[in-house]
Amino acid sequence: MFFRCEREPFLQAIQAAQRAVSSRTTLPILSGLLLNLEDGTLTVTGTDLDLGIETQFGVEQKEPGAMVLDARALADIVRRLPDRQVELSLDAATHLARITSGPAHFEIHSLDAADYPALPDPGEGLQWSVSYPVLRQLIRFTTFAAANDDTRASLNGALLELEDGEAHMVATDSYRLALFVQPQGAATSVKALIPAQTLQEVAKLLVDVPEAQAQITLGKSHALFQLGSTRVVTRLIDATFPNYRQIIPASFVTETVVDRLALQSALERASLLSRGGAVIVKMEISADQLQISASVPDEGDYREALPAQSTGEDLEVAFNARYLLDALRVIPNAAVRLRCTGSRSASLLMPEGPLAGGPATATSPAPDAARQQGDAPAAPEEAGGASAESASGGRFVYMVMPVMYR
Amino acid sequence: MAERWILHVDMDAFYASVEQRDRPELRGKPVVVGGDPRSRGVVSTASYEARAFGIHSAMPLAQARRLCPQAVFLPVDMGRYRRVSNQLEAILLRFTPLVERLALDEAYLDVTGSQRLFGSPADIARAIKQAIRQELSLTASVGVAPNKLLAKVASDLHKPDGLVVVEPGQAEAFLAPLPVGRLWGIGKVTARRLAAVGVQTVSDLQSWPLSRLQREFGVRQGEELWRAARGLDSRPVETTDRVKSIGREETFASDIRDCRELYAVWRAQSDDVARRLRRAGCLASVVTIKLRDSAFHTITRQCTLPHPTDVGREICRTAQALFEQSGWQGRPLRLIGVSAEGLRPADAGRGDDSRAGEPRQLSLFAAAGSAAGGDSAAAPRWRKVEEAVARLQERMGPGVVVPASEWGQEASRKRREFRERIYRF
Repeated sequence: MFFRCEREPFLQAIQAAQRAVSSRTTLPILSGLLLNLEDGTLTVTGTDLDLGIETQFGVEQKEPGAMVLDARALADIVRRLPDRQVELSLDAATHLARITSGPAHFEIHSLDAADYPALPDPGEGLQWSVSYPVLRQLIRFTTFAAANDDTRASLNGALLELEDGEAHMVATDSYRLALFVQPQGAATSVKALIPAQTLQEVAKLLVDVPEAQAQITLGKSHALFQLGSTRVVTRLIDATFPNYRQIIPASFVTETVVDRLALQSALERASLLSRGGAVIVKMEISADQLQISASVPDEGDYREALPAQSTGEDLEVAFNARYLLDALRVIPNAAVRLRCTGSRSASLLMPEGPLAGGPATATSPAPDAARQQGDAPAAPEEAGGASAESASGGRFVYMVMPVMYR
Repeated sequence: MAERWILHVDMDAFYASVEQRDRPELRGKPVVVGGDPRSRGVVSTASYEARAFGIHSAMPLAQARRLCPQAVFLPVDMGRYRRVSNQLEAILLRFTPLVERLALDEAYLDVTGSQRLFGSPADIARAIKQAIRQELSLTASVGVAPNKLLAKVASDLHKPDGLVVVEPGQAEAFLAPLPVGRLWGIGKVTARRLAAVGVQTVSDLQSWPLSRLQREFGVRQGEELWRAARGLDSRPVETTDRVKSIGREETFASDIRDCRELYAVWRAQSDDVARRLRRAGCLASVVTIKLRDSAFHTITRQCTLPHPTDVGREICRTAQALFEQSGWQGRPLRLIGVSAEGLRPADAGRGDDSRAGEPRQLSLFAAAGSAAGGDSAAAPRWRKVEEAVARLQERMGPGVVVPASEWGQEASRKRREFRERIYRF
C-alpha cells in the first residue's frame, strides 16, 4: 500500500470516520481506522459494531492495499503534519506504516486489515431521499429529548416514520417528547427506530450544501445514510417505541403565549439555584402574566413575573426547568405558546405561529421565506391549530409532563 | 433539607465490660485493660470501678497501678473485642443500613428513614439498648439528635447506660452549660486558647458574634466554633463499605445457561434486595450485577437508575437489562448476583407509600402501564404489590405467591398476558 494525497481531505476523512470509533472498546482492532486503497480511491472506515462510518476520496495511488491504524494517533499526527502533501506507505514485512510530510517522517505500527470487521449491509429496504436541511431539522428538533439510559433501549432512539407523504421523527425519555413533522416524506410507509446518538453524528456530517440530498436506506435491522461520499451504517434499535400519538392531548384548559427569549432567560436564571442538578420551576399562569418561581432547599429561592397573554383557567403547574429549556433553545420563533391540560397532565410547548427560520435552524430551507418570517411579527395562529407550520411546512410539537408535589 | 435523626451509640467501658462479662469473677472489681502494669504501656479501658480511683484511658499503666494497686490488669484481647463489635454492628444494621463505625465501641446511625418501621428515634434508641443488653449482656449509652455533633455530646452526658434525646430547636440550650471541650473539633489546644479569652462554657462561646470569633481564630476555625456552639453540623453518616450496598448472589449447584432460569433467579434476588431496602428504609440509586462463568471469569456491570428505588421489579428489570448488555448471555454461569448501591434514606414517610413533600416527575406513559419498557411512575403501585406479597410469604411460606412467569415450565404468550393483566391493578 502506497499513496500520496492532500492533508486536508485526508484529515477530514479521518475525523468523520473517527466519530464511529468508541473510546471504550474492548476489541483493540476497533480503536483503529481501516484505510483501504483501490482504483485511486482511499476509503477510511471506523466502527464500534453498532455504528459504522465510511468516507472516500481520491488519492494519487502508487500501490493498492489496506491497513488499520490507531484512530487517535492517526488523527493527531495528520493534524500536525507540516506540509500540505502527505505520503503514506506500508511495509508489509514489518507492519510499519510510514507517514511522510515535507521533512517529517513517522513510522507507526499497523494492524492487519483482514481482522477489521466488515460494515453491515442494510440489505433491501425502503429508500428515502431527503435534503440536508430537512434532515438536519428533523434531527435537531427531536433527538435531544431521547433518553440516554442503557436499561430503556426503546427510548434511546428517535423513531422515523414515513407515511402518507409525511415524515415524522419523534423521541422521548418518557418525561417529555419531541415530535417534528415534515410534509416531504416518501410515498410508502415505514418505521425505523434509529439510535439518537447516531443521528446526532449524522447531523454533524451534514455540511452546508443546500442542494445536497441524503439517501437513506431503511433495512430490517440496519439503516444506511449516504451523505455524498460518506456512508453511515447504523444498527436499528430492536424495541417497540411507545405509542405516542394517543397521548398527545387534543384539548387544553389553559393556554398562554409568552416571549420565547424572556421565558428562556428566566428559566436559565432559575437554574442558577442548583449547580448541575434539576431545578423545579413552578408556573402560575393568570390572564396577563406568567409567574415563575423556584425553591431549592439549602440554596435559595427565585421568583420572576413575565407578561403573558393567557386564555382559560388560572393554573399552577410545575416543571423540570431543563425540559422546557431544551425545547426553547431550538425554537427560533419570537414567542412560544404553552398549552396545559392541568397540573398533573401533559403540557404542549410550541412555537407561536409558523415555525420561523432563524439562528436555531442554521439551514432554513428557503432563504427568502425565512426572511419574510423573520420580518413579520408572529402571526396569530388560526383557531384550533395545534401546531405551527413553517414555510417549508415543518411542524414542531413538544410535550412535557409536570412535576407533582404530594 | 428534611430533618435528620442521628444516633450515636457508645459502648460503656467496652473492653473492660467484655472482660467482666466473660469472667464473672471480675465483676464489681476495678479492671484495667492495657497490659502488664510494669510495662511502659497505657490504659486502653478502665472499668467504672477502676475509674472511681481516678484511672482513665491513655494514662500510663504504672500510674494506674499507683492509684489502684488492687486493680486487675489484663492484656488487650483485640480479637475478642472485634468479634463482639461485629455482633454489635449486626444489631445496629437491623435498624438502618446507614451505620458509620467510628471505632470498635462506637458508631453513628442515620435513622431518618427507619421511623416508619421502628418508631420514633427515641424508641429506636431504646430498642437498640435493649438488644445490646439482651444479646450481648453489655450496656451502651445512646445520644439521639438531629446531627452527629449533638448526638455525640448527648451520648456522653449520662454514661453509663444513658439515653439522651436532643430535640431540634433545643440545641443551643442543651449545649449552653457544657464546657467547650465537649464540642467536636475543640481539642486541648483550642480549649486553652478559649479559656485564655474567658470562654469556659459553650454558653460563653455562644455570646461571641461570628465576626469576633473569626478575628480571634481565623475565618475558617472561627466559623467552625460559631457553628459548633449552636449545634450546627451537616456531616452525613458515612457508611462503611459493607453497608454501602445491599446485595444477594447465588452459586449454582450446576452451571446455568438457560436465560429463563437465570431470569427467575434475578427476580428472586431482586425481590429479596428490595425487601431489605424497604426494611432499612432506604432507596438505591445504583444497581450492580455480578456474573461468574464456569471458568471463574467474573465481571460486574452497573448502572445508575433514573430515580432511586426500593422496588424489586425495577431492580430486576435493570439487572436483566445489564445482563443483556453484558454479552454473557448463553454462557454457562456458575454464579450470578445483584446488589443495590448508592443508598440513601427514604424520607420518613407518614402514610402508605408517600415520600412526603418530595417532588415527583410524572411520566407520559403512566396511563399506558409499562409501555415505555419499565416505568417509575408505576413504582408506588409495585411497591404495594411487593409489600403485600412479602407479607403473604412471611405468613404462609415462600411458595404461596409466585410470578406467573415461573409457574410451570412453559411460559406461553397467553400466560404472560395474564400476568400483565393481574399485576396491573
